[in-house]
Amino acid sequence: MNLSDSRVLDADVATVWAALLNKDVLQTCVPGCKDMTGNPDDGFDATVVQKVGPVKATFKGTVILSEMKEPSSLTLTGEGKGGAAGFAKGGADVRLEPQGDQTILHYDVEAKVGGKLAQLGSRIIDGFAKKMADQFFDNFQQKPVSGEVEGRTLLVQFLREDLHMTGTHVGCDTSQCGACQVHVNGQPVKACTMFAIEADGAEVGTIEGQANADGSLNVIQQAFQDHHGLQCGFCTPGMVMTAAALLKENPTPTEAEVRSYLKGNICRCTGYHNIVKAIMAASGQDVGAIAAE
Amino acid sequence: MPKDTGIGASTKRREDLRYLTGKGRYTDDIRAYGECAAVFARSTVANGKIIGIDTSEAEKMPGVLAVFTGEDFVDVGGNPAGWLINSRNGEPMKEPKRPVLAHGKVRHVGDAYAAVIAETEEQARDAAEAIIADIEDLPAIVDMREALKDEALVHDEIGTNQCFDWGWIEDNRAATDEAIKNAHHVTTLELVNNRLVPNAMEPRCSIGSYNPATDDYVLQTTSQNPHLTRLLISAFVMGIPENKLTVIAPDVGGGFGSKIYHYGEEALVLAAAKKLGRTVKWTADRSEAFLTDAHGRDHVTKIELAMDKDGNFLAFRTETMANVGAYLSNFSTATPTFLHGTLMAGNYTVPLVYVNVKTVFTNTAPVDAYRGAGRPEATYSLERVIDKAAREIGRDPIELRRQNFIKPDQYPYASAAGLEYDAGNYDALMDKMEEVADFAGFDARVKESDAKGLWRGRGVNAYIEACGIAPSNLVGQLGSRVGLYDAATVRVNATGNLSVMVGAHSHGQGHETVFPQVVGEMLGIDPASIDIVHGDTSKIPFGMGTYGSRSLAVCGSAVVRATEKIIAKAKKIAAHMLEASEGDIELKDGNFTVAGTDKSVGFGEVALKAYIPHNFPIEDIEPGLEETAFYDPANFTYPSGAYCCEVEVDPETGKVRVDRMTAVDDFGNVINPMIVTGQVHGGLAQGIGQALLENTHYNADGQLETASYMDYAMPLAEDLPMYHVDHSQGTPCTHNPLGVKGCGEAGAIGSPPTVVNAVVDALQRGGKNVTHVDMPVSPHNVWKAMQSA
Amino acid sequence: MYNFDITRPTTVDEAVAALSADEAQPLSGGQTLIPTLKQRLAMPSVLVSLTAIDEMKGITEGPGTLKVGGGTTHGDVAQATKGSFAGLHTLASKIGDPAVRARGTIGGSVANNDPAACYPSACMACAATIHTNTRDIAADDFFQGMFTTALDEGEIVTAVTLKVPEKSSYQKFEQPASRFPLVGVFVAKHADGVRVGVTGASNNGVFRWAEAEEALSSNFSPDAIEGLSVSAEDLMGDLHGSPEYRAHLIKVMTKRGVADAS
Ligand SMILES: Cc1cc2nc3c(=O)[nH]c(=O)nc-3n(C[C@H](O)[C@H](O)[C@H](O)COP(=O)(O)OP(=O)(O)OC[C@H]3O[C@@H](n4cnc5c(N)ncnc54)[C@H](O)[C@@H]3O)c2cc1C
Ligand code: FES
Ligand code: FES
Repeated sequence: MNLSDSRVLDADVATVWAALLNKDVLQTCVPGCKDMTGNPDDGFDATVVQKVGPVKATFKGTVILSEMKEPSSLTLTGEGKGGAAGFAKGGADVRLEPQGDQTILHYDVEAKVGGKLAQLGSRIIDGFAKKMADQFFDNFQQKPVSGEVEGRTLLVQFLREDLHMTGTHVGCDTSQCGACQVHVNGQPVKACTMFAIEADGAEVGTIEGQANADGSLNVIQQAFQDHHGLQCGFCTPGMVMTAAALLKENPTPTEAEVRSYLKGNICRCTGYHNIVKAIMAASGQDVGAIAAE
Repeated sequence: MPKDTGIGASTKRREDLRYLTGKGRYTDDIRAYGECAAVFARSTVANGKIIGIDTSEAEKMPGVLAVFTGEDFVDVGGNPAGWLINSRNGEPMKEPKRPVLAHGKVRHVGDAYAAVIAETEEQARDAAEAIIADIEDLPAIVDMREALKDEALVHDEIGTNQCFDWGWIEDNRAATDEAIKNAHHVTTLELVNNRLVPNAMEPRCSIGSYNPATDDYVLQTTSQNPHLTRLLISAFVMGIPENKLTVIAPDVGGGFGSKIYHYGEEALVLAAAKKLGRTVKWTADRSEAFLTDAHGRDHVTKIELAMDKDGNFLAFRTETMANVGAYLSNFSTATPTFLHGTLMAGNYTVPLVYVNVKTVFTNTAPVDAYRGAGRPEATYSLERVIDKAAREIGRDPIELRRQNFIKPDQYPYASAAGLEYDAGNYDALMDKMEEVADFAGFDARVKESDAKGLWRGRGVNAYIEACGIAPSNLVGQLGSRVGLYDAATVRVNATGNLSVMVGAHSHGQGHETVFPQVVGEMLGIDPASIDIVHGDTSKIPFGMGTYGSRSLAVCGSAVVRATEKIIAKAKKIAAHMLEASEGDIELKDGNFTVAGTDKSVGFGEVALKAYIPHNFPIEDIEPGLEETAFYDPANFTYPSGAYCCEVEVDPETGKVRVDRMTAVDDFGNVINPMIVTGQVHGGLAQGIGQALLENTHYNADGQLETASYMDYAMPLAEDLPMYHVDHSQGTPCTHNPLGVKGCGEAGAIGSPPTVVNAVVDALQRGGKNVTHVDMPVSPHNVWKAMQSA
Repeated sequence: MYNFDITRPTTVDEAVAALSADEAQPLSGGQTLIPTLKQRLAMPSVLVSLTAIDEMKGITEGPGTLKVGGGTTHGDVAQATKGSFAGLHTLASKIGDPAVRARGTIGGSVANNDPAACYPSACMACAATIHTNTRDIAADDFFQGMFTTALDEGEIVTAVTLKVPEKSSYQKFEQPASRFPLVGVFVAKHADGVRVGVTGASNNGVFRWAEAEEALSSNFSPDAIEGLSVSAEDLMGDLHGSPEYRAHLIKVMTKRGVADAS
């Protein structure tokens, strides 16, 4: 059977994407999930207790993420074996579509069951699959980014270690380099200088969510490429995030304003010339005059 | 008109796509199943005798898997110096062992004496704090002059703090002394080339793993040259057979020299991986980077310039003390010698050069090559003393330089410091610089500054550097223990696209874009179908990595040679396919054509044929289309340039602002002008950083006072101007196939003296008789200079 | 970091209660505290985050005064004082960088009393009152030397009320690395006299330059202090500036502040 539906989630696409890849989020969203281990690259092992009609069984299974097109689509496949109860296989093609600050999550679910479960009859199976899927996405809708955060977990650690979003970098321990710069509720924030817990309920934007929905570079990213505003790329995510915050505050900054706004972002490679140029170009200004070679 | 993809085109970088979207894969981004963490226990004193290290508490802490100390590595080798230097008296340099973990003694703050491996980094940190180290604090040896008295020793076993006392060119010593004694005018300058921390934005990181079933090791590490790291670990430090060790340098977030070298942490994670059968990761934090990355520069120099009554240069004599820190890092002995002394004739027809360098062990972090390596030191000394000389004898600084320049018709030119320059045109660079720097508008700008209560000054310089660091033959004679060739394999895949495996490593330089421009142009195919593979010793030929502005000049030449071999073989195949004679086959726009006919086959068809060699004349042509070339150049390349800087000095506070910075460089031919310009920008920022901001300060106890960005002043966007960069005056290198010279270090070499010359000029214009200010020319230093003028 | 718990109370009362725990410490913007924790230089058992307490945020104008909630960020202060309170606007908009300003708070700044912090100079020059959960303290009494304040254990800075001057200017001469003030001078001309707060310079933390205040109160022009000089005694000396240099800069920055405010 197939079923399709969609949900509107109150978070941007990058945040939702990260949540989809997060073990802790998945664990709390899979109905009846008792335990989950693993990671998005190698897949997750899960233990799920389910009751369908008369059957109650503990399923041991795997959840695999595939066809990943960050941050717009992926396929979730799960397979569980419940001993005598039989097996359940299911897949969901998930598509994320930005809508303002929110995200529309579309899903197409396909489910197959075998063994005793299948013998319960298609009426129950379809209903069960739909219920499971709806429950999963209902749960998911509640918590785009969450997970158990240890008190001392910094936002940057949470992004890198728990969500496996490694685009946000760490370049210092004195809060001065800006390699970790992200947006929290639209404001520029150093993810190394904020506890993850404090971002509870906030909207966190990272470099992973900057590209256009079709995966192409956004205006700022494109300007960085066009004007060679990066070399080793290590400072780049922070630079792009800072530039985005600047242009939101000040759509046509002067050269001096750009330089001043970059005060918390160190680049050792470019000498800043091309970064400044790229940001001004991204703001639609003609950079030929100010940055003659 | 340049095409947008071939040689000479500013092709946009393909690597940008991953970096801009957060998809770069730097070492610390790599996660392995079952990975555990290493944390090092590091000395908090500069000099200390290890009485005992008690790890018993640490071993019992939660999550702890293993604790290592220096004892565990007494039977393995040390990390060697890559360059053997002999003293003036013929004695070889002193080369104390540099162990994986300190044993017997700790020799600088940050010297690691133990390592903890635990399930998580925080657990390892907790346990590292529980190690009880009984270390007897000894007086720190910090100042080089004091160190040379040998009253206390960094390494007891060598009996001295002097590593070597080197003379260059020793045979010219007496003649140089004589020339200086008899000269009409001698200008003398004492200066300090400040100690710098390279500060690549990505801190070092190493991941070791081991497969007991195959006895294979893998090291993923932040390296500029994975093959050299493998060689050092295999042949010197750990004895792991080279065929059992793969070294991978994935995306690397900048190096600037600091990631050329092998460091003990790399050996440690491998040893721990083997012991535990787990993947072990160590990531430095910024404080560790400050304490343990190889630093740069740190020369104390006295230079004298002798002139005749007409201002002709007669001799340069230099005496330098160079700090090597507590241990010899891999290229630390080459930097103050052959990368410095051999450049001490500059761009000039001076007949005599003599350089004496004493290298000194101190209780500080090792000092090694940092962007420019030796050449900034040479340029700074020369161009500062020339500027001072011009002022002393009342000559225009540019005219004095021009008078002594080597002229275009004098090439090849044997410099008095022992190098043979192949090509150059320094007057043309100066002319262009005067134009780009808008000399015409200078007086008006001085007035504008005056109106703001600021003093404007202008400084210029001319530099030459030796780069594309190579000829194995030459460097071998000079003491190098490695060859400095490079290598490339061009693999034409059956479907006509290419994988090019190169020995150079890209960590910001854009090889993934530039090398395909070269190969694409040679083959007449779209560079988009060519991919560069680098950084993995299991995939690439044995090359020597990226530093010394060598990637394109040396490795790029290997790429050209390998591609030439491909063309030659492809022509054979095409001749066979077209039933023509090989000599009649021409390659044009990606097609092989029989000369004078319209018979042709496309590159793709030839590629396919190479892998489906049905009815091949196999006695003449082997199947496949893959070629490797090793390229060892005949000489260094010699980029040169003329720079100009205009500063404004605030007479009340001493604050200096760089208002205009002009760099006119001769890089020979340029493959991708956009990237070359970017390289110059980055070098300029580092050079201006050295001149105005950056300084590494150890106090008398050997404590590093500038161990974070709170006290180590990094150049920020606000501190820097838009630059004026030109490379239109190229004189192609005469001995490599691309005619290229290398552009990575120029900016950092040419800018420091230019900036300081400008500051001195501003102070002079403001009526202060200041003839020198040591770097960094910070507000405080300028103010002090003004106070005493 | 050592391990600890974090709580996020939503009222001052809850926060005060939470702070009664052993080794509890308030966390505001974290722009000072988190780097300290990362270096393992602090070992709290509980961090009591003040960032969810709405009553500590925001800016209210009173008659001739401005009351800034202790949890108000530098960025919000900069925004709110644009065009109305020149000195404070400059000060707030030059602290650190945009990200620091988005998190760091006035409460954290004054409670920390870093000898190079900017806000204390404004508090001194604008005769500020520091409000805590238990009392009101005059700035002159509140700042008691480097990293030392009148705050008791567990006491929270809930707001700061500044007297709005007729004219004001903040002059920050940056330390080249940290970009904190090497010397920062806040000049405020009030109806009843001029006050000059100096930060970054003294071993005893922020202070008022009394002689300059006197001279400027009778003649608010840079010339008025031409003949004065600051003693280098007790001023800080470090890699970035000797006591003598700082003394010199105090005068230069004060003159510039007066010129800017005039
Ligand atoms: C890169 C960088 C640059 C900076 N540049 C400058 C600068 O130029 N000028 C400048 O002045 N500052 C500068 N700062 C410091 C910055 O202003 C901090 O935000 C500020 O000093 C502390 O405020 P916070 O809210 O972040 O406090 P936190 O870091 O959260 O706390 C600081 C201390 O105060 C205590 N505390 C916090 N809030 C309260 C409260 N309401 N009541 C009682 N105690 C409290 C905490 O327990 C802690 O001990 C910079 C910081 C960084 C990271
Ligand atoms: S890592 Fe966050 S500012 Fe450097
Ligand atoms: S591009 Fe390398 S640090 Fe900015």
